[in-house]
Amino acid sequence: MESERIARSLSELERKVIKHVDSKKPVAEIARAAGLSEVEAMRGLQYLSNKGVVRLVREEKERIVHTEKGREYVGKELPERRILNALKDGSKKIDELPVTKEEFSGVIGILKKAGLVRFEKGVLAITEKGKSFIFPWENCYDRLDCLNDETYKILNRRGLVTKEKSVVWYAEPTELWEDVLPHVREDLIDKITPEILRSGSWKDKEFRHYDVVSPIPKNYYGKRQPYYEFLRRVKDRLYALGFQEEEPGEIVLPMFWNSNALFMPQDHPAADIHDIYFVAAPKKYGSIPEELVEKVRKIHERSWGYKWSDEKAKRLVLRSHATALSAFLLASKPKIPGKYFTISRVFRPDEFDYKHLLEFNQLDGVVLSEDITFRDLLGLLKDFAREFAGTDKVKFKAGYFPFTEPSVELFVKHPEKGWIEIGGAGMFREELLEPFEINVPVIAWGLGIGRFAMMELGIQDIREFYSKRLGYLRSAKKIWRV
Amino acid sequence: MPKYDVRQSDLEHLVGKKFTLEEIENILFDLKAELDDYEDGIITVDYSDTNRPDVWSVEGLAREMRGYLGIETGLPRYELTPSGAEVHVDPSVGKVRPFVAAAIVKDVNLGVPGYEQLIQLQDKIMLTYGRKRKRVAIGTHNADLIHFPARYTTAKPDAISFVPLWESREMTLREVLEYHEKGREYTHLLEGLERYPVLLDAEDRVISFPPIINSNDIGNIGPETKNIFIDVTGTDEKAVLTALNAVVAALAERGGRIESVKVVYPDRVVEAPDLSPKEFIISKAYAERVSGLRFTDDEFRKLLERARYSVKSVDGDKWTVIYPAYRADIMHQRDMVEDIIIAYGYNRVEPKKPAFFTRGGASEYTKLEDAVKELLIGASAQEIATFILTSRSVVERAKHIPVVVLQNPMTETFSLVRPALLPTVLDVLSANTGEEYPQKVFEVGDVVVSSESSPTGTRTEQHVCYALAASEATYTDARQVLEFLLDQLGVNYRLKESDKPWYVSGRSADVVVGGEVIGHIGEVHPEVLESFGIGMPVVAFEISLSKVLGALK
Repeated sequence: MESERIARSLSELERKVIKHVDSKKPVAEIARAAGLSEVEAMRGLQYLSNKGVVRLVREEKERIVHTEKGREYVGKELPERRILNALKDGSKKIDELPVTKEEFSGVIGILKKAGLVRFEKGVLAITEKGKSFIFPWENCYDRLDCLNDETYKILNRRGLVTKEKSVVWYAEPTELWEDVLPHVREDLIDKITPEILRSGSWKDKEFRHYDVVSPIPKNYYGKRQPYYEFLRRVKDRLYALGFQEEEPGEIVLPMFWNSNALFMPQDHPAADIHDIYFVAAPKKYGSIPEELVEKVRKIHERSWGYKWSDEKAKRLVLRSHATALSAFLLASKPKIPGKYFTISRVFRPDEFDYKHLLEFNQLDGVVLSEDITFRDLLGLLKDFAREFAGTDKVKFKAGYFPFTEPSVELFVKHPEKGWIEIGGAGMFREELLEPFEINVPVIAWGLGIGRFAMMELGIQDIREFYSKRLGYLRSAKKIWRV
Repeated sequence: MPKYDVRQSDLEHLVGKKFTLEEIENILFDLKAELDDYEDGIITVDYSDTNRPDVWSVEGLAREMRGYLGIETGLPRYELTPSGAEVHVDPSVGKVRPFVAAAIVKDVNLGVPGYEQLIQLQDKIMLTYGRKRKRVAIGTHNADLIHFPARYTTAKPDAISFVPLWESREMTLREVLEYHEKGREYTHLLEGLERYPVLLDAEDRVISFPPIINSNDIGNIGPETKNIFIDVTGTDEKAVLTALNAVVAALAERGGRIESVKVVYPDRVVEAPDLSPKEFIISKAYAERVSGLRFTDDEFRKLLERARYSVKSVDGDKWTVIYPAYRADIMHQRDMVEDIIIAYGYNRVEPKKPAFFTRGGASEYTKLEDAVKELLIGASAQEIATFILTSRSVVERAKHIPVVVLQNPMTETFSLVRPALLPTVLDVLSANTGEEYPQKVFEVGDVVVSSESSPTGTRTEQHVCYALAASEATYTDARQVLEFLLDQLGVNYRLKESDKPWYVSGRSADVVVGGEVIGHIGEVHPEVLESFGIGMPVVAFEISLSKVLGALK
């Protein structure tokens, strides 16, 4: 039965107000009758109204209220009364009256017009009529329930009262109310409390039924940031492919480690493959390892044919590509055969718009082994295409990087966008490996994960990776399928 | 990456074959280039190699394509005869712009496409290879109008005047720098000099004012110009000579006959261009070892020839190969191996899987980071991500002190590297004052702190920062999370009263492990909150995970 079902779901508040509902009764009155505050009563009635048990009616009314100035006299004597009472003891000068100047000028007209006072030789005296006169508003000034149009006008002109629009809520019973009311039970258990459990009092009572389907307020719990979650999933893929992750590296580097140790010359177009941030403070120049620098210098001068400058090599910059970490890896005598990777933030002066950031994460790695060849490099890239782009349709383009030879760019076929480039790779040049005394071939590769991340996160604007909007972060879907 | 336009019809004419656009796209792909755009018969080529100015025009591209397609293979040979012309170099250029090289190309058939290409090639070489004309600048002139010997010398800014290209009145050198479009663009290259470089002919007429502009009378060539004088000046002699080679080789492809010019320096004579092929030795076994491919001798020879090399001699595994003089990029036999694989076809190479096993795994840091994130998520905090670059304003409003400041920021918003996470975390809270509270957030990421002992004066650390913004937030709330985190990680720490300017005095502590401070916790000072426009109490902590990792070792 609907009405019975509803009766069982009523909360304590609803049960308290339901029986006081009567045809068009103001909510304030229901609250008084139920012993609740108006807010509580309104809440209970709101629930009942949602269930169709009562109908809430809203009416706008105009009522007379005190102004701020008028409120000062509530519970006190009005200036006209104070003047009349004072004069009963004898005539007085104006400044002897117990009112302010402002109060005096506000009421003297009314008093004179009604013939209650008169001036005699500079002093004010009470008339016979004045001795017993009472203004019609005096007795009801506090509640203002006896004012008529005329008296309202007088007080309003004096700035004591004004009219205010107010909303009055009424509750009316519906047909359902009549059906529900007989089933309302006082002894339903609302919350299950430790007391109820201890006493076992629930055993002979029934539980109130909750509304288990209507919307409730949201709560926010913790979770990972979507873009970082994506990057973390990418790492998992690389672990599975047998790659060991490198420990995080330095962001501020001498140019030597960022570029020159990777066979990128100091003053040559090949050094201009991208722009670099230079550091102004705390220092402009760092120190570099002499012995290694000497070896690198010789090879640069021999191969590129320019004059090496230690000063340029020491110039501090922000890491501009993740390959910079490879230089440190090579210098650390890595285990061979070995496969290593890093996801690192890199920094480049650029436009800041929906396609470009000034800092982004690069996925970069190396493979070192005795017998690896260019064919192994292509095999590795095919694996990456399958793992990260989910496709076997790949195309290799001859590429150019100053630190690798041969170099290759990896393209995959995207169902809508056609051939898209997803990474660059190559075999480190021997001139690069020589100073590190590495004498096995080294494959170096980098994958553009930004594009995958944008697809996975469904965003068009790359700046969303670092969205400050908590609303977005709270509602963004969990990345779990990458 | 140089980008340049070519006319499809011109390309086909020079290659000697018609193509569909798709065919061209595929061939470009194999030759280190992409078809970037196509409109009205004009193809925009995006060429990857910044070391090959010889391929930055249609003539060079066509030369490579003929080799790749087997239409014309082996070393391209260009006749070279001496012109008898000389350029005399005055010692005063030594400190200004010391090197010059020149050549004359006769009977060239430019036409409109060839003229366009010559102008474009000059521009591209000067822009990238020439480092915006600093290293290399090129001028092309009508050779018939020049009386030799020419003189490469210097002049005071007001001593000489001439009509610069595209102008109708004479200007002094100073006026050119002030009023001419190119003068204003490149005036910085001559800044601070008392004398400017000039190239004059035997009658002291200005041929050009390098690296700024040619003369309008002599240096104004057009599609009909037959005999062209090319001058290249610069600060790097090798680059100057290479640029000259690239330009004359391109003109030779249009039927031009190349003639050399003697440059007479005070102490030596250099006759350029030098087009004699260069020699290099490559081992076939090495090429096989790097590529993973196997070649018969015949195959190997054909691949080299398609890459426009010629084989001079073979001695066992030692192949002596000659290559054209316009190439300045060959430093190692590796460079030839790449050309061989390109000639073989990148997409014909059969990929293979590396035959060794390695075990993959996370870095120590990632393991810790995972644990930290899991614990803070357990404490109901939302992870946030911010940029590492930030503004002085954000750092200073959070009462932190900037450490790494950039020399060349693009904008003030990203002008320094954050020294801590708390400033950027507060910046996020300040962007979310309209969002529902309580707000519990954390960030894990890189910061750069100062470190006198490090070679760079700084050290990159990984930090975690937690912040709670809520109407009832107190120190205890943050401390509960901090203790949960550090206890779970097994860090043996203690709290010590501290006085950080960004926290309320008497409501903050340092987190100490051993003798080292690894972080701090406290109630964020209302003054800081006010400066970020946050109208809600905020409690926070920040810990160096790098130090935690060190402590747990």
